[in-house]
Order: sequence, then structure tokens, then C-alpha cells
Amino acid sequence: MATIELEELCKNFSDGTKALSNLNLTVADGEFMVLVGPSGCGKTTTLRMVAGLEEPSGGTITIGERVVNDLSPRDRDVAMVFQNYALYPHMTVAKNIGFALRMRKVPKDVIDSKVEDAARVLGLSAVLNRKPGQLSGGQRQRVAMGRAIVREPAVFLMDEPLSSLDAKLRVQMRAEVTRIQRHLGVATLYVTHDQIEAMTMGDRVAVLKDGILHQCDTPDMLYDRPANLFVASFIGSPTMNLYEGRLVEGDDGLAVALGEQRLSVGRDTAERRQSLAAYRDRAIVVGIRPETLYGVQAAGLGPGGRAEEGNGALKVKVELVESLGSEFIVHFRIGAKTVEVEAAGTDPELTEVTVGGGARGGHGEARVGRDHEIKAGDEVWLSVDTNRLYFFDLATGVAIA
Amino acid sequence: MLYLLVLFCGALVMFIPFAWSLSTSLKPLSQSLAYPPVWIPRVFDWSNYVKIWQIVPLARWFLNSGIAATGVTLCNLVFDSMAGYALARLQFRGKQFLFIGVLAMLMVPFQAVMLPVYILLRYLGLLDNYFGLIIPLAVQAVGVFLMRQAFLNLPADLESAARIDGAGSFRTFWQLSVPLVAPSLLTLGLISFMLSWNNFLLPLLVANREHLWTVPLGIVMFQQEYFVNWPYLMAAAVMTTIPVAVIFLIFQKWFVRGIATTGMN
Amino acid sequence: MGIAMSLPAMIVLFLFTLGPAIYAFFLSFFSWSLLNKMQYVGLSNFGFIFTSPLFWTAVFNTASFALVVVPTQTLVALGIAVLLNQNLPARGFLRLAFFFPAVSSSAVISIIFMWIYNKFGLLNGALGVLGIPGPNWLANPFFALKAIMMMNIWTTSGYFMVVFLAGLQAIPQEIHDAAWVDGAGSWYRFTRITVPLLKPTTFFVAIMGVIGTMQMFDQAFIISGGTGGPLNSTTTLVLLIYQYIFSYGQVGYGAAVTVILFVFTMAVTLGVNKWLGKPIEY
Repeated sequence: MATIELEELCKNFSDGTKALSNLNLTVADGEFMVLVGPSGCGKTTTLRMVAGLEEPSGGTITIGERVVNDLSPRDRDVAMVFQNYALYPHMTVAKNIGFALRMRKVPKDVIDSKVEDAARVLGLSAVLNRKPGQLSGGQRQRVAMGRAIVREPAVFLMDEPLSSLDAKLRVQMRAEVTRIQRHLGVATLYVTHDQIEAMTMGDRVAVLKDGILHQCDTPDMLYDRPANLFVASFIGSPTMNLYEGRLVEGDDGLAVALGEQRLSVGRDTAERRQSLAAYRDRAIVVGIRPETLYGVQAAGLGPGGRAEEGNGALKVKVELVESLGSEFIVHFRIGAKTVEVEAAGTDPELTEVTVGGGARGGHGEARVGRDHEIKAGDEVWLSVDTNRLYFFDLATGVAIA
Repeated sequence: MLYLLVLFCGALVMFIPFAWSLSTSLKPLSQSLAYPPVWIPRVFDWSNYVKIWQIVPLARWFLNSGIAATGVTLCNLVFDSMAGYALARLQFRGKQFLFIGVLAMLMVPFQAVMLPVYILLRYLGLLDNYFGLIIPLAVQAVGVFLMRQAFLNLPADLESAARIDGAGSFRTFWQLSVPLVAPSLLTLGLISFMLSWNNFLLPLLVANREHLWTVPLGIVMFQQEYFVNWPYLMAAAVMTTIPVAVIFLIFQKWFVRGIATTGMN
Repeated sequence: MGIAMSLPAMIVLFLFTLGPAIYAFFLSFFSWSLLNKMQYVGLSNFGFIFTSPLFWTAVFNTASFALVVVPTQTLVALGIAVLLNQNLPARGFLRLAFFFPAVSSSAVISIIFMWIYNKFGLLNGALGVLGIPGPNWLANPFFALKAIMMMNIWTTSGYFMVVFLAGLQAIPQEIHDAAWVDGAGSWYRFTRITVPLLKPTTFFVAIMGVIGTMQMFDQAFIISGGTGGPLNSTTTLVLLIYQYIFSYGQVGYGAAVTVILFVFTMAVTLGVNKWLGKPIEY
């Protein structure tokens, strides 16, 4: 039982690339912390440094009360689950799970009973005498988990442990890993590139990109209050629609001009984001999540008179309708400039942004219910929840609070 | 650091015999017999390297070695890759049987069947000519196996695409597949060349007359005749080793690859 | 098409590998000196061989050669490979240095070592510095075979080291990492992870070593001048076969030894295939 504290952690590889710069992160006792980001963002490097498999170039790693920078992995009291499980192919499941205990010279009968307990928790009792080569993917994953939990370590480290499972099993194991972690209450650092995994599993999620921590918060806060354009576009599926807009004074309060169209900003939003007023008459980035574009009206009917409070509508041309069974994903085009989030530089405050045309110019996606009749080529009005709009500084990409 | 020390000592042990032969080859006979041995010659005497070419037909031996090794290499490149391709890619009756045959012969060394091979060569009239130095080594089971693996590792779709584009099966083999296994061909070429170049037993059996001796056979025969003149012998040894060392340094990656692929199926 | 393409290779392989084995089997029932007329003698060649002290000397020499050389070269090769597999400077150079003897000519190496093993050679010079009087290595029946053993280990260890390196590199780094995090120090990682996972490679190396040492000829021939001396102490099975044809003109005896050697080699080979049939799955 311990906390993990990373202070100013850095890693430069010998070829000069910066894998991680000045990471500060604290994982509370019992907390499930997810490190998420695109490949090459430094998340696995961070995990390996905590494990002791990689030496930091700077900063300190504290587990519990101990600074562990100079300790060998075996002395750090951490357990790790690897991406490809790293099961010992020549040992049975029981020997795999008990290996760490044997290394610590735990008496044999204690090992046996602990292995049996772990196997029962994980549903592996029937396969204890098999070798990893004879197990299914899901079973191997459980053995890897078993090897970690039997140790009762201070800290769990997991490196994309579900990525080699098929989609269905992954969903199932997601819940199971979370359940086991809650049950054991051990501080956990979990690496994934899958934002859905991050959102569903983490108590808190740290979003990394190019070795820089962009935001560390609860899943809800990441979704509701992304710190910048990168986080906003990384979290959520389909990704957030981002357009260049202009903040103007509308009939009743602030409004956003998107190309020819206007969308009044919900009063709640305007009140919550005080600094928004300062951007009046300036270009900004407007974010609209596909799931907040919820309804459809045929264009001929007009926007339904004056928009009600918290409601707006955007006129779009439908390009493609994908059915997910439960709902439609509507790909549309709108008369506004799309904002693409490009690879960020080294400064977290500066997410590089490209505005404009290209093939995706004006492209957007919406999630609407299946009761709407809609097909490619239609011109329709999409209802917008204007209290759930997002605003970002066009120059820096930072969210406008 | 301890590891490094151990390894460097080991490497030194590997190096000493070669260094010693170089050292001896640069001494006059009288000094080479000094005891205890002296590492650095008092004067560097290069004359051994000149005289050896005059005392024995060393140039002829090099030529013979070169002819034999080149022949063996070419034969292996052609025959091994043809058979390897057939076993990897073509469907025909008895294929499985042939493959098992190749596997069975994979580990039968030449020495084991030396006697019947000699009688066979004698019967076929292959003693005392170049064919006798080449044909017995013209195909290596290891080579067939290596090439089969190489062709198996090519994506099958590639050949299907070529067929659909209208290439016949020999054309597909020759113009598409062979260029793609060039690295394996290089490995096979090196293995074959070295096998023939370093071979001692086959020339011993085949080449009775001095003008057909290869370098290894020649210097062994020379040693049995001039067994006390170590500087000459060491000069010959150094000169025989140099071409091997040069080829080895240039192609070491492929040597290692060859062992890694043939060593562990 | 397939048959046509594989035919040349199959003919040569049959003529110079499998065919000769069958032919040797045939010849082993005849008495023949290459020059006279062949005469069927039944199993009497085998009878002669099994009662010939020289044959048993050759078996003893060959077996003791294999028993010393195979374990030593396997251990040395494994040791060097494990050390070389660390992240060390000069790795490439070291690998080269260890590997080079394996690609050198056996004839050249034998001659260099004859000079080193000379009564007044480098080895005895070095021993003299330590105050040990060295024997006349190659003229002493007690030392001659041992000298060839040392030379053989020196030559082949580098080859098998490369095989081991390939085997080591097939073990995923993740497994070493996992063992380390699980609390295994470097010795335990070596004995509990590396060695067991290298088992197929080790087995392969051992078998290749057995087959190679059973066929030892070049070094014994060159160093003894073809006689197997001193006092038959370097007569190996293959050298004996050579002598039966070229010195004694007894093809039948040679063929009988060939059959024995071939059967043994095939048995070992089949054993290999059976064992290598189950590689480790990661």
C-alpha cells in the first residue's frame, strides 16, 4: 500500500530524442491512474522508469516513502503486467504465478495457498498445471494478472495489458481488471493508447503527448473541461467537431458566427466561462461534440422559429449516414472552416492548429437517433445543445475558461 | 566491466595463433627457432613471402582453389535455389517424400561416406580433374533447406499477382522470386564458397597430382615435406588466411545470418 | 515442373550422400582391394572389425574426443554468447574475434597449432615462463589427442556461440524484464529463465557437436601425417576408414566401419528431429 510520486521526471534517449520532459504526477494510495496518449508519447517509458527497467535522465520517483531511483526493479516492490504478458513459457501456470514468491524465498506451503487463492479469484484453478502455450488469450491475460496480484505489491504497473485481446474479451477484462484493482486497493499505473479504456477504467487519467503531460483529471472532467485542443480531440468518439468561429454579440447575449450561420451561446455557458467575454469580436475555435448534435429537421421547415434557450440549430449538407444499429453517425459538411489538431510542439500551452480547407474542410459528424429520416444529399438542420459548446483560443489551443 | 575483461581475454586467445603465425612468417629460419619464443622479430624478413611462391606452385594451388570454389558456389546457387523453390512453392507428386529425404541428408557429413564416394568418383572417372572437386559439393542439403525457407517467407500473394499479370511459372521464379531472396543467395554463396575453399578431405581424395592440389591440401603436403621450415609454412598460412579474412570482414553479417537460419531450422 | 526443378539437386544429393550410404552397406559384405575382383564374404568384415584392437582404439579415441570436446565447447560457447548478449561496447568486434576461427581452413589451423605445440613452440615457451616443463605435445601418445581436443574447442566454440546468440535473441526481452520485476537477480534470471528457454538451442548445439566430433578427420590426419600416431593415439574412426582403403587396401573393412558410423549418425539425426519438433512457444 503506497503512493507513487513522480517529480520532474525526464527521459532522453541516447540518440537525443526526448521521450519525457518534466513529468509531475502523484498516484494516491489505491488510486487507478491511467496514462493515455498516442504511440510515442512517453507513457510506456514512464511506466518502465517506475518499474526500474529504464533509468530516468532526471527527476525523482518515490514509491511510498522511498525514493527508488537507484533501486533495482526487484527491490522496488512493484508488480508489472506486460503487453504480451511475458509469461514464462517453460513453467506451468502455477509456477508462473508463484515465481516471484519463490524468488523471495517464501515457504512452499504459503506459496501454494497464495497461488490457489489467486487462481480462484481469476478462475484459473482448472488450468494450474498447464503451460502458457496451451492457454487461450484471455487465460494468459489472467495468468499475467495472477502473477502480479499474488505478490501483494505496493504498486501495480500495467503496460497495455488488454491490447492483444480481441474486442469482446477486452471489454470483459476491462471490467474484471477494474474489479480486481478496487478489491485489492493498490495504487495502479495503467498505460493504454485506447481512450475508451482510459475513460472507463481510470479514477484519474493523465493525457500525454510527445513526452508532455497535457492534462490529468477525472474522466468526467477530461470530457467536460478539456484543457486544450489536443485533449478535446483525443477524448471522445467520434471526435469533437472543431471549427473556426467568431464570437459576436447576438440578439440575446453572446453568439458564435460559423461561416454564414449563427449559434447563440447558452446562458449557462456564458456565465460559467467568464473570460469568454474578452474574446468578443475575435476568432476562436468552437468545439461541438457529435453527441450534442442530437436532432434533425428538414431544411425546408426552417430552424423552428426563434431558438429556445439552450437550443440552436445548424444547417448542414448530409454526405453519408452510417448506421450503428442503435443510432446514426451522420457525416456532414457545413459552411465553416475545420480546425485540425496537429502534432504539438514541446510547449503544452501551444497546441499547433491548422485551420481551413483540405479534403475535410467543413466536415463534421453527428450522432442522432434512428427515428430520424435522413439520407445522403439531404440539407437538414441539426439541433445543438448550446450549453455544451467548447471554446478554445485559436492561437494557443488552450481552452477558454 | 568484469564481463568485458573476460571477453577480451577470450578474444586474445582467439587471436594469438594467427598473430603468432604472422610473427613467425616474418623471421628468418634461425630466429624462428629461438627458445623461449620471441614475439617481435629482430628484423622483419619479408623474403619468406617471396620464396614460398618459388619453392612450391602456390599460385597454381590458389588458382585450383579458386576454380573449385567458384564452381561449387555457382552450382549450389543454381541447383539449391531451384530445388528449394520447387519444395517451397510448387505442387507435385512425391514432394513430401523428397523433402523428408533432404531433411534426412541434412546432417550426414561428407566424411561419413568418404569411402563409397571415393569409389564412385573413381568409377565415374572424376579423379584428378576439376569436376571431381566440384560435383560432390555441387548441392548441399543445407542449401536446399535454406532456400526453401527463403522462398517460403516470400508472401504468396506476390506470385499470385505475377501469375495474374501473365507471367509463366519459370518467369515468376526467375524474374520475381529469385531477386527477392538475394540476401539468402548471398548467404548460400558464402557457405558454399567457404565449404569448398577450406575443404581438405575432398582434394585429398580426388587430387593425386600436385598440379591439381588446392591451397589447404598443398600446404599440408608442403608441411610434410619441409616440416622444419616454419617461417615458410607460416607465410603460406598467412597468405591462405588473408582472403578468407577479407571475405569474412566484408560479409560477416551474412555469415552470422546463415548460421542463425540454418542452425536453428 | 516441380520435379524438373528439383531433379538436378536430388540426383547430386542421392549420388553423394544417400547413395554412397547404401553402396557402403553393399560393399561391407565383400572383400575387395579396389584392384582385385570383389568377393562376397558375408558378415566376416564386421566380425573382423569387432575383434580388431585398432577399431576399438579408434572408437575409444573418437568417443573420448566427443566426450571432452562437446560439453566443453557447448559451455564455452554458451558462456561467451551470454556475455556478448549484454549491452557491451565493442560487441561487434568481439563477436568477430570469436567467430573467425570457425571460418578458417582446418588445414591452416592445424599447421599453425602444430607449430604452437612444437616441443620448442609457443605453448611450451609460455608454460616455461610459469616454470612448468611442457611435453612434446604431438609426439607423446598421452598428450597428442588432448592437444587436438584443445585446438578443436578453440576452433568451433565461436561457431556455436553464434548459434547460441541467435537463440538468446529469440527470447523476448519482456520475459527478462518480467523476471527482474518479479525479483530475480541476474544469476536467477540466467538459471531459471535463460537456460531453460535455451534448451532447444543447447540440444541442437550438443547434437551438432556430437555429429561433428564423430567425423573428426582433417586435424588427426594432418597432425599425425595420416598415420594416427603416435601409437595410434590419434586414430579416429574416419581416419581408420581412410587407412583401410589407402594403406591396407581393405575396402570391405572400411565399408563396415562406414556403415557403423552412418547408422550412428542417422540415429542421432533422427533424435534431433524428434526433439526439435517441439520448439518453445512464447
